[in-house]
Amino acid sequence: MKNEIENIFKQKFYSFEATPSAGLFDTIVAKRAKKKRAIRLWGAAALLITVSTVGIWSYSTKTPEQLTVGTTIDTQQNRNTPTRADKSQGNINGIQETLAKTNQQNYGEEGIKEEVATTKDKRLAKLEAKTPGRQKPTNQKIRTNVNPKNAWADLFVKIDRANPNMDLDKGALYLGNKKQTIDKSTGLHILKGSKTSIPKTPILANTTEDQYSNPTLTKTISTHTKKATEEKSEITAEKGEDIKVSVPLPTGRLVALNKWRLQTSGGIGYASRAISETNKDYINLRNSTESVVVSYQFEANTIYQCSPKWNIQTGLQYTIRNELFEYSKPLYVTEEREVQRTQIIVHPILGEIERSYVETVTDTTSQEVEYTSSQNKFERVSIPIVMERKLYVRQNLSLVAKVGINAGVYSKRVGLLLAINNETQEYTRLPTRKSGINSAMIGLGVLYSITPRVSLLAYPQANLQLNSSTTSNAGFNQNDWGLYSHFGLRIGL
Amino acid sequence: MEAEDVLQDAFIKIFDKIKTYRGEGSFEGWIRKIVVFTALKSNDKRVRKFEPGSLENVQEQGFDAKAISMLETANLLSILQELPEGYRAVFNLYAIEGYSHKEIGKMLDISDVTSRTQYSRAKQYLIKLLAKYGIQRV
Repeated sequence: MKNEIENIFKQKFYSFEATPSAGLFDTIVAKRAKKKRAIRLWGAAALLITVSTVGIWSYSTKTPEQLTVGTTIDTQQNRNTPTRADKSQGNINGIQETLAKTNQQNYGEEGIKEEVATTKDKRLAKLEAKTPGRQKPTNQKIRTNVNPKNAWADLFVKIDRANPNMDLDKGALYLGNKKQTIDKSTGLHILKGSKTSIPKTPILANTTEDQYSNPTLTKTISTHTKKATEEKSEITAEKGEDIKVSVPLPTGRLVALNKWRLQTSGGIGYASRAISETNKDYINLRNSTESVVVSYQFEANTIYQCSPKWNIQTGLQYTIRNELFEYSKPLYVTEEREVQRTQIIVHPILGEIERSYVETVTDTTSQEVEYTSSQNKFERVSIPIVMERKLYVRQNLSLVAKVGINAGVYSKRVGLLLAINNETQEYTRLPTRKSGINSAMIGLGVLYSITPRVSLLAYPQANLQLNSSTTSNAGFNQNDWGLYSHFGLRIGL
Repeated sequence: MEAEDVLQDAFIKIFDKIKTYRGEGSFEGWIRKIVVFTALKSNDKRVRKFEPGSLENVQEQGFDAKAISMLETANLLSILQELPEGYRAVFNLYAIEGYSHKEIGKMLDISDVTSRTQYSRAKQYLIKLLAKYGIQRV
């Protein structure tokens, strides 16, 4: 009796069936697809965040080097022997004072003695160090926790502010004996130093002011002289003569860029699709009815420069793949006609018997052709997540390569196609995906810096759709691919 | 609609986790478990009251079993819906789904004694509800 209630309920509900609403399974399928898509998008976002974090982390947490800086710039007070150049040292000293001031701010009272900030300073300093009677430069080893490369980059900016006629192309930064190359297209990021010995001072015996673009400064500091003290000097002057050392004066300005760039590009392309279907006749029929027409692709991206060579890009990509559908379907006309026929039967007893009869024959003739054509248009908006690397840099030109994925957010298909039953069908009736069509992207391009801030780009890139744009209900898979030429502009912020 | 929401969520889970079904035990049982867990999880969002206590205060009362068995399942279902949340969960799991109090305790994160108490109280409550619908106590 005690368990009777359980038994009753168990029996009652054992065979109980409730019919869910009609659209429930469709909702389940849709919800599941949505969930999967969300997972994919979150995955892509997580990947982007991870890659950016690792990039930023690896760039910003480089172990500060134990900076060994030689005091290679003399201040005016250090000189015992006045030279002609001393008269014109004002400008250089101005820069040096700025350096010293900045240095003091950055590294405290003791400071780091200034490294040669530009080639000309290095050359001057070397020359002066050789001059007898002068205070020889002392080498000081100073440890600092400040990332010295960034600090020196900062000093470069300060130098530029001190002298608006500085030109990055003419200057060079040496840390120890490593020449630090300034990335001219990205601004002040310092590439990894290469072991390059400090170059010898070029000697120009007869330097004229015309060689320099800044006559005022040239007039004051274009030459730096000393007396030749050896019989055979490295330089061509005779003993006792003045040695003229020209200092190439910088022109132009340094531009300090942050790590963000904006890029917009677009161009025409050759794009088609690959169909996966076991029925080869269907593939042949599709290939014979669809032909490639010029396609377009446009992109607007935000770029984060993780390092001088690497950057990450994301934004929006809009692709229009055009296609011409032409189908000529022959229309057959059938006609029936009666034909009089004669048949001879050989009978064993009666002999040959001739029999006449009327037969109805159907003739099928192709009278006309039904022609159908359509300008098919496939539009897709996706979010590219791209990594780009500089492969080669020469003056203002850079060779760059990129690889990435496009996460599709929207697609629209308009036009006609031959369905699997060989009937003309509208694309809108084909079960296709609106979003979640992901594609891989690869590109190889050229960047030309017009100014340190603005670059032109020519960037051919290939896209390959990774998943089918049709759902399984369509009966075949269709993956788009395309090769697009991109021309555009990259602006440093 | 609420049941359909649970069914939807449960089936999404089933499709997602179908690869994890290793063929051990019955497939129906596996599905049932997922549905039950999903239903419980969705119930977690609502306040479910469990009153821990001893069985001493709970007295089994009699009822007209014949009269109950004559009721339509749909009617029984609507009567069950009137049970308080905590009672209904334990009653469904024990009387209909056939789980033991120990299993129910684990599922609902309560002790098996609480499960027993809740079940007994659920039955008393149910009998009162049945009386309301004209099914007399014996």
